[in-house]
Amino acid sequence: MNCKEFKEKVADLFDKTIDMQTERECKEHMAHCSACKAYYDELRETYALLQPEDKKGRADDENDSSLLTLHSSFFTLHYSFFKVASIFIAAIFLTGLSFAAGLSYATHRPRAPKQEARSQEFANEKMLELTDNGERIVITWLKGTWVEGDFGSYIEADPIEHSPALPLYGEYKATIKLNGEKIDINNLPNLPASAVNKMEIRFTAGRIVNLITTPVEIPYADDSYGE
Amino acid sequence: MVDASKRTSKEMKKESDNNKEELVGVFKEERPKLLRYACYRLGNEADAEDMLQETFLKIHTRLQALNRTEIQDLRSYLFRTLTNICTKWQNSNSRIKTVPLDTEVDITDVPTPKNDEDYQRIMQLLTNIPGEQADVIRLRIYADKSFAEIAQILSLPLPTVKSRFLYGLEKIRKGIKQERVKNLKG
Repeated sequence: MNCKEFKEKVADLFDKTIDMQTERECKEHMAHCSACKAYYDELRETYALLQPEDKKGRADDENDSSLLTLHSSFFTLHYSFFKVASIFIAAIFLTGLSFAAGLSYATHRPRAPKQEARSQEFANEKMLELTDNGERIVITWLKGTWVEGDFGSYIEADPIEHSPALPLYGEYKATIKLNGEKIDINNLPNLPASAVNKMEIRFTAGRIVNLITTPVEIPYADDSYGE
Repeated sequence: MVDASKRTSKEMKKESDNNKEELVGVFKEERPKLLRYACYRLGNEADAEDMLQETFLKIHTRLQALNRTEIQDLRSYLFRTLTNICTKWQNSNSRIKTVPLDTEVDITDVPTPKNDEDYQRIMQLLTNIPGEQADVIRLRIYADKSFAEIAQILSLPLPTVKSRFLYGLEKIRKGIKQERVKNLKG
């Protein structure tokens, strides 16, 4: 996809539903083209500004499943992958440090009461799925999942049907651990999305994201993005 | 011959009743989206409720005269009627709504409901872009319609809907930037 094609397709990222192929192509283009990424970010900010006040604070309203919020996390995640890969050396140095900090944070982070309401939408969706001739893996997780990553941490406000497709081979290959056990890519467990307990996704450049869903315990009093 | 005519009339009445029943059902389902669209278009809930009422009545009356098959998609038709009624109301209201120069208006006497403040905030943002672009944005965000549905509601080609949406967002963004620069200079 080039810049012209991106501009022809960018409106689709704001539609109610989006074709996965288009979404992936746009994300891949933005990962390499800072001008298009900046253009999209500006549109997204304006779109966010136009959101009704009541919509911003009502995550449980089924009509409020803003695709943009969902996309925003997708793009941040995807962008981070390449960003992290490009600062590979710095990441190696910081991995040890962030691990120690993470341990300390996990031990001391403030706890809020458990959030009981967890979306059952997509609960039966397949959690792990291979795509693109078995080269990429798509993960399904649910609203209420605690997403912990290098880009920031947050409680997922919208039900995620499909995560970004993580490359499993090549320069940016990812490995996935489920409850501490490394997953055999060629023999994926056939689990529903509701079965995600703790998942670690690692890139060649270091830890990228942890998904913790059971029990859902919110580290901050509000469920806003924790960046 | 008389019997046949009676049967036809009975059938017509039955069809009309079925149409009205369908309208009530669809209206109930779409009401929250219709109301939200109208609120963000007109800037307050009271006027929005009136427009919804008028929309319902208009279609209800029309269904008696029209053949149901003339309306392909009742949901789209509801939104199209509402957008037309809102446009008409806004045009006529801008002519009628005048305040004598010697009238003292104390705005603190009439508290603005919290939601109305938000409706007006959005109205303000959409004021400076062409109406047709603003309407696509409203239908996408407040009526929660997909671009394909908007194309059907407004009887426009899909690429036109998408470009209106993008141009609208770009213009709002530009306006905000200019405002910021102006504030910094001022």
